[in-house]
Amino acid sequence: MVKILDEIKIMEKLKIWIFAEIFKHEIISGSLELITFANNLNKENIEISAIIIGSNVDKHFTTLKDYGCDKIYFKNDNLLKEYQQKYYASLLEHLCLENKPDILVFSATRIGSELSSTLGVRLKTGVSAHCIGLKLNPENKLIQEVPGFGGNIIAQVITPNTVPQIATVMPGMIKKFQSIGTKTDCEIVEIAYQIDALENLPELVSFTEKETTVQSIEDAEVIIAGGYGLGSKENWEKIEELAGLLNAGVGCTRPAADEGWCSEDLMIGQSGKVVRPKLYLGIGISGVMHHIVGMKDSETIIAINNDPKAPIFEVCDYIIEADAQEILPAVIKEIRASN
Amino acid sequence: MNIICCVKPIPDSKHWYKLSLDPETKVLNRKGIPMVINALDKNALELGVQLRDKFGGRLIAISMAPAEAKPVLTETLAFGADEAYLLTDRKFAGSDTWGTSYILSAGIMKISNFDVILTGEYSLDGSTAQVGPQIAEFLDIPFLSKVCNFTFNSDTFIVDVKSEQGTYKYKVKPPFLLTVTKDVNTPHNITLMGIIKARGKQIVEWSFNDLDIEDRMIGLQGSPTQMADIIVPDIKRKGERIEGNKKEIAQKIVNIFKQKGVL
Repeated sequence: MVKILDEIKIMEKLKIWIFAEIFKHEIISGSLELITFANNLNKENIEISAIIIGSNVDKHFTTLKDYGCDKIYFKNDNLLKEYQQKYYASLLEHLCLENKPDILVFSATRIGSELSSTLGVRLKTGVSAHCIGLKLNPENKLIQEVPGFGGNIIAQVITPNTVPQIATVMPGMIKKFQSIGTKTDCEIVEIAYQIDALENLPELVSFTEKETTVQSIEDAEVIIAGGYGLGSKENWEKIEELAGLLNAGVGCTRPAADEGWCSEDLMIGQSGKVVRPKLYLGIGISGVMHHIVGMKDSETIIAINNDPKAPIFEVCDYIIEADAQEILPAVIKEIRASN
Repeated sequence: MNIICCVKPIPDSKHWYKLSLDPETKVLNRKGIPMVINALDKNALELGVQLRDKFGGRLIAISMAPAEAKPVLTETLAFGADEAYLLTDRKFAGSDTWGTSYILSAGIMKISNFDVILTGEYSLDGSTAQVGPQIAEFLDIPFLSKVCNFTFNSDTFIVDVKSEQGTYKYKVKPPFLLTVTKDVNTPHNITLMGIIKARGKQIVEWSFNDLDIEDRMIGLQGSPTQMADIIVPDIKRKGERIEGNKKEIAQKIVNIFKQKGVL
């Protein structure tokens, strides 16, 4: 009798799975964020599992336990050493069929996007992409907040009838994620399924890492962002100067990146980074929705633009209708004077 | 070589400000908004034209869209596609990406002869980037997404994939599917000659009955994802104007920094 009740209890647990993506021998912060998100739900009867696959993944177990996993499913295999979509998807598919997770989340990376999409087909279930928010409804269904039409609308998507409910999540959704101390009873399970080598798969020839730019802006308390209105690379450099004086992060819009003034990594917006700083100062930015989606939750927003109709003025706390190219050096001067 | 290019007609983004949401039904009203080719699909078509011109064969455009999207298919023919297929049926309406990929895959399987499938990485309206990979999955062929460079000679195809970490270079062999970014090429402008030639080319329309698909897997009821709600985000703030000459403005900004503990 007791055994049956125990089994029922296990079946009732809400199984949340997080794919722990590895890059350069570390679990990416986007994946760790999601473990924190699951823990923050603070619900009884949730089982949080990480899925980690590759060729030498044991060294990551401690990190996963520290961030609050109840369970870790892992696999080491030479075929998994480099990401190969068909192998990874096949393994995850069989793991899901066997264990029936309720929710499966990925960070919205290239790998996360590819795996989530294809698993949706293999498992005949729903997938949402680039979520900027996740919640559980009273029935424990995942409400997935997804921007559409360049951010002009936010759709709340659910997968009501099938499992797993799959979602990819924009990095930066959880502002502070942290290790919570080791869960003492974390269960480590080796995935039994064996993948077979396939022919005619894309063959990796080389990998060229991006030149690492400044620290990730998602954590910055203050962000100075520059847009097309700056006019030139020289003016862009003043943005960096101002940010330096304030110990702030630097962000940009797509047009500024397209001009070559700065790296695309600094782009704030729907297809870039989502930031929630204490203070955001936008200089020479008109404020198309695509960008606004990436910074709308900043605590204080100041905008400088010489177009009185700039859409950014609708969403900011301080409106400065002036020439960005004049104000920027003036602000730098004032800060230097006050120091 | 036979190349199939999946193209999505989307509401023209210049007119998105006209979109309205019915608060009762949560249906987006797209009336009066013209449809255009999704920009990234033009990059895919351009790549298709290059491959067809190099290897010979046919470039075929395919869309799943409402009937009024037909002019977009004509545009693909003017761009250089040899044939175009429009999968259109009221029953398809409301399909999420799963349903859309399922329908497009059925269309592709009916066309049947293909070596390469190309599509834009994502569409500007939905932006999920799911349909390309999902079609590859339905057709059980390898794929690469976020392709930013593609080079080929007579027997080798080299593809660069742009991930957040850097660029991965792959060698691929047909059959494969690629989703492309805007960096992969610059689409040519449609010429008058292209428009004239388009008149001699065919747009084939297929409805539900022409495809080997099941009713229960498509449309709103067949979609595994549903919309619980659509919100127009309320992000407006009442901004306080800061005025004065440039020194005064700069001083006021510095004061705000001090107030907020930033300086």
